[in-house]
Amino acid sequence: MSDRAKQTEKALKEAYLRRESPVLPEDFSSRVMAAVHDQHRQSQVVDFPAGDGGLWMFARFAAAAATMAIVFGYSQYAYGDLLPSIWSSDMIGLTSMMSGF
Amino acid sequence: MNASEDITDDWAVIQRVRDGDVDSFEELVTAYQELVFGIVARRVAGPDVESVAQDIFVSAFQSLKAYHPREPFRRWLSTIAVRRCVDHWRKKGRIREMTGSELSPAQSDWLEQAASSLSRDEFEKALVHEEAAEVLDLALRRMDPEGRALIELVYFEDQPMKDVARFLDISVSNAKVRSHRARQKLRKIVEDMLS
Repeated sequence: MSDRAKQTEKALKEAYLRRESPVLPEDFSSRVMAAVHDQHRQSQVVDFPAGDGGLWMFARFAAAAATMAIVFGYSQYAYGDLLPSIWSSDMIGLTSMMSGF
Repeated sequence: MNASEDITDDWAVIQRVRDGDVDSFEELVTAYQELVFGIVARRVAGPDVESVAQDIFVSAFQSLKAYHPREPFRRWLSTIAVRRCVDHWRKKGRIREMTGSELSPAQSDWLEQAASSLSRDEFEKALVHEEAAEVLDLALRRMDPEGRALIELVYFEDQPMKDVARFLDISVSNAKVRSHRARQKLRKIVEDMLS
């Protein structure tokens, strides 16, 4: 590296360290808080599980139960007496998985 | 008030915010706005400083659940600030190629003055020109965002390598290797500008 380049690199470092900082606006914290409140409101609407975990769990349980009831009802209609052998624990597990519970 | 009292106070405020008292977050904003503004002002061009600084506090608020009091809040917030500045450069894009002939006449004059100043007085005179900041900005904008962060943290600010690694979420040895490469890149940029 040439002496000229070294000198320029040194000047750039000094220029960086002496960079003038803009003045912090007086109302900066209130503007930040307005953005924070806005963000908080949005997260309350979108982030359903964090807002009400119990209700979310109940909704998932209800969806799983409804799916199982439909599968059970259809099996009863289609296979009649075969149902006890088909309706194994694996079937219940699969149904639960498909319903996302 | 000493540092450990600060940490205890911060943690108490953070717990209140986590419990749903969003307004308490303003205490943290007031306490650390100068710090964040300072970090951003060195790295980001004037008109964008305020919006980037604001984004940093909103990010900190969003991530507050992930904060652990074993790390001082000041350090945790500084890490978010540096990373947000890197994100800002990514969004802004970089100048791929530039030679000395693409500088304005005033910028070229400054570069010549800075490169050839023999005495401390000449050097000081060169630094007061507004072209100093412009040429610096052009040189840094030619770096990739991570390389730029490494140049600023390691060579301009002399930050400990351990802190640099934490800021950029890389290992210390990786930070050393990458900062060496970034330094070489800056030298190449300076040589190009002088050519």
